[in-house]
Amino acid sequence: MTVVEVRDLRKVFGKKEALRGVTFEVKEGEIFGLIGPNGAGKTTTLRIISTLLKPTSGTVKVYGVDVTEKPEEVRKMIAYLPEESDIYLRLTGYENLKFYAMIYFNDPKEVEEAVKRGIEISDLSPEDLKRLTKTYSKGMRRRVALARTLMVRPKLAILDEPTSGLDVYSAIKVRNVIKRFVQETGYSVILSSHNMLEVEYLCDRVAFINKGRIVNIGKPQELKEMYNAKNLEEAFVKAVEVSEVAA
Amino acid sequence: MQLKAIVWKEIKDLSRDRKTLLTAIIMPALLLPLMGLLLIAAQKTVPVYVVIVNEDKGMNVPSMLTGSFLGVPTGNQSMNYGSIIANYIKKVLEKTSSNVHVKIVKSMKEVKRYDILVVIPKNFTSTLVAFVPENFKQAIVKVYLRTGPSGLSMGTTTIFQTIISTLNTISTKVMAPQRVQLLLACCNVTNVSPQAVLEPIKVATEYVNIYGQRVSMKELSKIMTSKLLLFSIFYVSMPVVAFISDSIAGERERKTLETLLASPISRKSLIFGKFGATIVLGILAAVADMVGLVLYIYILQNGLTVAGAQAFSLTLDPGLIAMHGFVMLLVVAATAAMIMPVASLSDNVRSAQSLGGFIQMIPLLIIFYAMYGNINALPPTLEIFVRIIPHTYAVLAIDALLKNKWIDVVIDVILMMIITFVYLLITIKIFESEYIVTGSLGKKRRG
Repeated sequence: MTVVEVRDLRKVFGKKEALRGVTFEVKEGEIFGLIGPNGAGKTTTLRIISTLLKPTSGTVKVYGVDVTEKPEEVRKMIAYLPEESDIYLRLTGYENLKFYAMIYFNDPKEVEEAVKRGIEISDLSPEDLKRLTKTYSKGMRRRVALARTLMVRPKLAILDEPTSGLDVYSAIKVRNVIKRFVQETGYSVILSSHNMLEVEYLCDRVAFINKGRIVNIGKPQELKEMYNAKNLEEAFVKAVEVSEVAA
Repeated sequence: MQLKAIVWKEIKDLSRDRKTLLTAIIMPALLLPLMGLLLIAAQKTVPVYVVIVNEDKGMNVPSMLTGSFLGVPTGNQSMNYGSIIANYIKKVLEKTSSNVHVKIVKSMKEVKRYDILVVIPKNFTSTLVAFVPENFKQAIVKVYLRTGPSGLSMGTTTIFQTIISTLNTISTKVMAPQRVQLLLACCNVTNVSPQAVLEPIKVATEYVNIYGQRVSMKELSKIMTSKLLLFSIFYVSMPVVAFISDSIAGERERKTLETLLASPISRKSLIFGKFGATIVLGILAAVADMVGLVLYIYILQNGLTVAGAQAFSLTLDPGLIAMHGFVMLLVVAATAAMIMPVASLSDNVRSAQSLGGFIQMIPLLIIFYAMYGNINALPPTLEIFVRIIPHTYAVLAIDALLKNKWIDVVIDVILMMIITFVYLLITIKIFESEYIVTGSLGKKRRG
């Protein structure tokens, strides 16, 4: 089943064309990666899927619902973790999780269950959960941010650079959490990343994006073979070169 | 649940934001009482030294002046009017303030330290009792007020004014009628009131309300109190700017806004939730303000000297205080609503606070104008501008309350609420646009 359907997506900011006809699909139970350099259009694409930006032209549908026509409907199915997104520093870890659970669920029981899942995902000790998050390390804050995104069991989790700025150990924890979320729920994740190792480990399929255009889409292994590359990083560079020559 | 979640989060956040709590609650509750205490301290703790130099030699008072002068029997004997006046002033001053030290001396050589110096000249009595019309002259009393680099203390000024007022009263109410009586006697005119000669035109003033009914001094004092109360709008609205800036621009700065906007919470719930939390802050600030106000008036009424209390004639009217509290709450709401669109367009808390502070100046200027002018009498073009500012109606509501025009009070309050709501709708519109994500004030877009 198609979870996300992006068709000929264009986005113009003033004179700058950020997206120039992006098209791709994300399937159910899939972790889909958007790979590209800074300014390639990854965040803009994710923001449009998250209903935060409106496309200049083209369509984006989540479970068949158009993000421009019914953004409220879409928001019930998604949870978005922006890059560098922080948490509320004057709330405790527990309160941060509870706040987001209260936004997504009306029933107090469901709120409590979501918070329990959040605690499990964040892997924080009971003592840590009671502390104000301004005392947390960056890694702990990111884990709470990821926990609040995944604990509400969104049909589509949109993660922009989920491990950005984290140390190796924290990054591994975060990756495992994402993988486990998809395995346990069967829901989908779309993420962007600079880290090719991370993408290779996590994603079922990836899209190379450069200068607002999708250069190629495929499984990591397929893309490496296609470009006769040792790793995904090399495949990306070759894909961009080929596309620029063709253009 | 979503609205509840936002209010819950904001209040939790606020309860741990010591700076905002300090400026919103502690400051209004403490500032006015502290000002009152400082006024009293200025008047009472700083001692005022008054030296009265009585150089008057005195003289025999003519038999025609038999009677009494300031309670002292006079006539057919040697009298020293300077001494009587000096002692009278001393008695009045000691009754006025416990911190005044009055010393009566006979020569300038004895004067060492003083704040106020009163000099009664040698020929004072002789000039005063020269009850032959050809010799009528003014007896001059010189009063010196010492100023310093730190300026004049409130206590010194009050005592100085009391001395001047006492001397004027003696001159106009005691001496002048006596002189007139003497003149009339010389002309063989009797049965004429000296006061009618001294004051051929008596100006009778009276304060009346819009219905032409007499306004008592208490009511007048209430009006003065209400004008003074408008000042508290200045500091009650200050923490609102800080809170709203932190609550809205802070979400953007801390990068929590996008997650919130992509969640199922509606823009209305988001804005009304934040607004609701501001109302809670407003209630706390208004209560703190009322407590501070009651303490301030109580301190001034009970702590100042008689003359000082007259200078600060304030009325502790329960209706006025309650209305003031209610209006302060509306002011908080209106300020929040006006600042919200600005905060929504600011990249960070600092720029939101700066812009918010600038925007806040507009209602504050209106309030300042309302203290001395009349909003209803403004030119039409300016009046239209003033009337889109919700705070204007706070001023008009208090004004209508003082005139007992209850329908106008209700209308003004409703108008204030409507305009506040319009500002909230503008904020919701901003939140519904992608402007809130892309940012307009210097925010860089990322690919």
